[in-house]
Amino acid sequence: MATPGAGGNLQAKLVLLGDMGAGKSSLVLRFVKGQFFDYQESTIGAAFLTQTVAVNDVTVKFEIWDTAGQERYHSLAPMYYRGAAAAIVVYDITNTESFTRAKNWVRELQRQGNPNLVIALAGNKADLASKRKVETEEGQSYADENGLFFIETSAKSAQNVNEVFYEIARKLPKAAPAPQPQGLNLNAQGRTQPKRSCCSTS
Amino acid sequence: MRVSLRKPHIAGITVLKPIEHQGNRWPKRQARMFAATQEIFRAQQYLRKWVGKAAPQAGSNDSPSSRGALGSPKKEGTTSPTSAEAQSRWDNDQEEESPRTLLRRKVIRGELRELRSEFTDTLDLSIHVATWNVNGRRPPDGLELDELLDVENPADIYVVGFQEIVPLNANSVLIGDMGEAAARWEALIHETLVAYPADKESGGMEAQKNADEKLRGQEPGGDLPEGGPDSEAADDAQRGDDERGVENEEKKGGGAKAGAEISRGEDGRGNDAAERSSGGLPNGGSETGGTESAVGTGPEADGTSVDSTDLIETLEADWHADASAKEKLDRVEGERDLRAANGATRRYVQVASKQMVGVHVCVWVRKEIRKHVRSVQTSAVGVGLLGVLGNKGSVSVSLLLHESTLCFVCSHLTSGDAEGDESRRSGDVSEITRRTYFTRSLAEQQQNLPATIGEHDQRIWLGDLNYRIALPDEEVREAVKKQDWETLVESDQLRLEQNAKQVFVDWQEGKIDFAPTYKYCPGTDRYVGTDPIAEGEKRRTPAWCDRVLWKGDYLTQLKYGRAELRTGDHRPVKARFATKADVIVPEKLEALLAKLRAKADADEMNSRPVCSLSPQIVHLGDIRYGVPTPPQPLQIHNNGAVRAEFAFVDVGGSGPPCPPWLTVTPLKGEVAAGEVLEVSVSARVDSASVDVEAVIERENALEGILVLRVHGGGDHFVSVTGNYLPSSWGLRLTKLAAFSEPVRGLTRVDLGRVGDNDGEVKNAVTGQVSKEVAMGQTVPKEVIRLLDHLMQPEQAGGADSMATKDGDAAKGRSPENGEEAEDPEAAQAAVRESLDTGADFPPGTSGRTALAALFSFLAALPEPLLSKSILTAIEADFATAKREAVVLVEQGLVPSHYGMYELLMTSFAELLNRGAEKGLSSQALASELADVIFGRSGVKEDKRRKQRVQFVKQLLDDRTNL
Repeated sequence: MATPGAGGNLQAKLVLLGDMGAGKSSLVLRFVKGQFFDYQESTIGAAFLTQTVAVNDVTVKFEIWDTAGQERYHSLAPMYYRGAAAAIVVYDITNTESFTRAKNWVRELQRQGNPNLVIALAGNKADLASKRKVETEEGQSYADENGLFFIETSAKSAQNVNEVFYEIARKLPKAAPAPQPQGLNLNAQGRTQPKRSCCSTS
Repeated sequence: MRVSLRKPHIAGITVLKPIEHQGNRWPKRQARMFAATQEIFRAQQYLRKWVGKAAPQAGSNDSPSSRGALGSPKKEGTTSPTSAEAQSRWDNDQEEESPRTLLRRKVIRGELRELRSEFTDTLDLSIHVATWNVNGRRPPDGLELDELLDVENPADIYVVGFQEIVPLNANSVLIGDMGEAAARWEALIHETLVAYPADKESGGMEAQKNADEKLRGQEPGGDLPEGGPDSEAADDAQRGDDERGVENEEKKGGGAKAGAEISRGEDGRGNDAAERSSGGLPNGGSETGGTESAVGTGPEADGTSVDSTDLIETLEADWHADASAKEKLDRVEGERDLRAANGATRRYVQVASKQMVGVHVCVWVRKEIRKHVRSVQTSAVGVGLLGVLGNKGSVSVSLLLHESTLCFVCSHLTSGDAEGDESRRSGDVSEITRRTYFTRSLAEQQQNLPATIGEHDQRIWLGDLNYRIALPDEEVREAVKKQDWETLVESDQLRLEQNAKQVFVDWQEGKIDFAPTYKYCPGTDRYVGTDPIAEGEKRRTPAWCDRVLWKGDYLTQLKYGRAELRTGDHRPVKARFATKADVIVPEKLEALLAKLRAKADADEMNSRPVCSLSPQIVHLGDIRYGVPTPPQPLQIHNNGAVRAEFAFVDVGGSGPPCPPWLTVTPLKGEVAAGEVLEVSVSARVDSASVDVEAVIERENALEGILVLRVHGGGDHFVSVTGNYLPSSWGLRLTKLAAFSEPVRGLTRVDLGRVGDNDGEVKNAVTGQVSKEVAMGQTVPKEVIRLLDHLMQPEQAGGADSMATKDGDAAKGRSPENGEEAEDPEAAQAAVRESLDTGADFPPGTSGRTALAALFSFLAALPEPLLSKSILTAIEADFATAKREAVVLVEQGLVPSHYGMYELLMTSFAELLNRGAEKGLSSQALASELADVIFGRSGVKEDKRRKQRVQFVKQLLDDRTNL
């Protein structure tokens, strides 16, 4: 959940999902540290990183969970997207299968029922145009149909990497639900929402 | 919200937080930095708004003259301007005083202060300073300040200081001046500043002149008072008072209405200026302007200050009585504003005015920079009579211009040319420096706004410092005649004191290239004492009493000189400075904030624990039923800079931290930076922890994922794998019975193929017959082998064991067979292994071990031998159930369990019969059996267990009695 902090700033949990090798970790690394490695070790677990961006008078502190893409860890994914304010579903434009998997992720996210979840669909490895298997239009139209924010990125060339995160940051305040009166929200999700009272860093 | 956030939260967001209350993991400095950047984050979002905001309304109420119309709130019955009122008026043009702006300023002037150069540019500005001891006189008619203020070369800021703005008599010293004289001088300054270079022949100017005449209507003929009060000696005060008394008489005769009107108008202005000077302060240090000129200031004023409220009210009454005068004034002001709007004049705005008895200072700024002037504060220090009275002392103004702090000190120091007087003057300076204090609100303190003179970026000290020239009178006059300033400067007391580090250490003064400014015969260019015989004057050696000094990196003096105004006995001195102010460049500030944010993020990341695991997959090898695998190491490397706390967590967030068949030790702990901690992982499979058939379905692959959460450092997944060696334990009887080979060879395919006929039997056949049919098919060979072993005559020890105390049978305590007794678990495992592989039992396997294995086998059945319906019946109505035990069981048995049940009971009955003479009791056997044939539910509850045992005993007794 995007949690309003003191002064109207947000802390937002963001999760990256997608097939193994789609480039989730590379995107995050490019965004957070401005680095890129041709050989990025496969993520066995969920890396946790933070990055703060300022857009439109609001500062958003992203708490990023970069998850493992291997299918064997699929069952662990809910632990990470549960309670998230935003998700970036990543696929590799040179890999049709990864696009299919991305669509599965989108479906899974939509099923999990947080209507305020901001979902971005990122077609990564846009620098490998000659090996493209998934056309931009495919990604775009799927995103349009499902109300996602779509963008093609390249962690290698840094193309559109910041844009994904900034665009999410722009969408978050609008997506963030109005604070609920206390005592009403007793469902599981409500319980897992951090309250800001004692988390506030001020 | 819980206070402890250490436990990983599903929402994930809180993971970051523990750092905050674990100071040891989060160095204090970083915590501070983090807090600061949080402030910055917040401030940052205000930035745009602030920068993008339109300039504050340049309303006409900025003009001092229009501020004379302050009457409006008073007409509604307010007595004196309240601080709230002052605040609201201040806020009109200080709109940015919002909490957001305040916060932003706090950050900029606080946390970011040292980085100021990174986000500011400097703006060139000019300051014009004038100081004049006016000898207690009001501005004479026709006096022009153009030369004094160098208006042809307009400055951005004007600082004008007066000394003896009122005659220093007992009345003014002790009771205070109502600011009338100051108001007149200020009106003249304002006129001078706004008028130039307006066409003096314009109609507008005429209206102005009319108004000015009105304003000066009661001036006593513009004549200079004869022999003005000599302010230098306190004992002169009485004389001065007498003289003023005459003046006052004249004033009364001159038209009370006009006098009242002017007083009111100017008083209003005076008040307003004072409000402005304290406007940044909600609790306004001073409520009235003119009255602050009482005596001293702050604590020193106690007991001697005079409440002038009554006077003000009187004046107000007069003011209200003459509304028409006010209307006229309004009209005049309207015209002034009109001219301003037409661009005919420059506009200056007074931002501060402060008077203490005769010392007065006022500050004017160009309208364009008005909005960048903030936190104006004044301070007055009396160092005169008794060391506190205001006949000597200072009034000072502090202000923040853009991001630079300026301080203007206007002082009138101890006079006299007696020996030691210069030391007293120097003492005055240090006293003023020590006691000048600008009251700051908490918010201002947080902005590091200066409270003392020394804390300002740029300081200018002006005034009648009264230093003389330490040379004989004749020599001075001779040098003056020759304009030999250098010689005189060498003996100037101020320079001498400065050289001796007695005063103004590190302050600068420009080159003195003008004649001494004191002491003139008023109205002439002649120094007093030039012709003592003819004039009978006191001799006063000419001196540079009036000076301007400065201290500040941004100050450069451009001009230093005097103006030839002959009103009093001093010539005014003026100084022009070039200065600079630090101005925030929004783009640079944005960039800096972005940089700081990035740094804060990086710092935060760097202060997070970083761990890696090896291996990422733990292979446990072959896993036998009920036998723990040798532990495998899992190493947690702390590669980061801080201690790491870790815990294995459940995938779902709330369950056990690892699969039930795995043992991980420890489950949580800490690893110091750079260290490695070894965690051991082992597996033990039984039917309680694993669905054995499901494992075989997966081709004997056992796999689990451990999630290791490093607090604040992300999660690591560890796969744990093992190869299950199929066992007869934990399989359903149908499956087991249908497989004729040793179970070890059982495959997924076999499991799918065999033993699914349980349902068929149930559906095709009814009653006992079907059970008879099913019997042969459903007793697994492993059970038959165990029973065979048990029933062998030489194995009667099995029966023996049952005779021992309840519960001991399975524990193999009987020492009769030494080889085997060391580890019943191991013996049992060996028996199980023989059964699963089809091998012979290990030599020497006792009946006791076989019996324990049998019970273990029964306990491992996925479905208990006696179905849940039987258990329910027992627990619902035990008496009936016990009575009809046999019937109940036969009705409730699952067909596939029937054969097994029959065989077991028959065998046990025989064992009991055989062992009867050895003391074997059905009670002991029932006790063991009851624990394993109803499944695991409720085994540990005494009452339920007792009922089961009695029920099973009933079954056994029914058999043995047959």
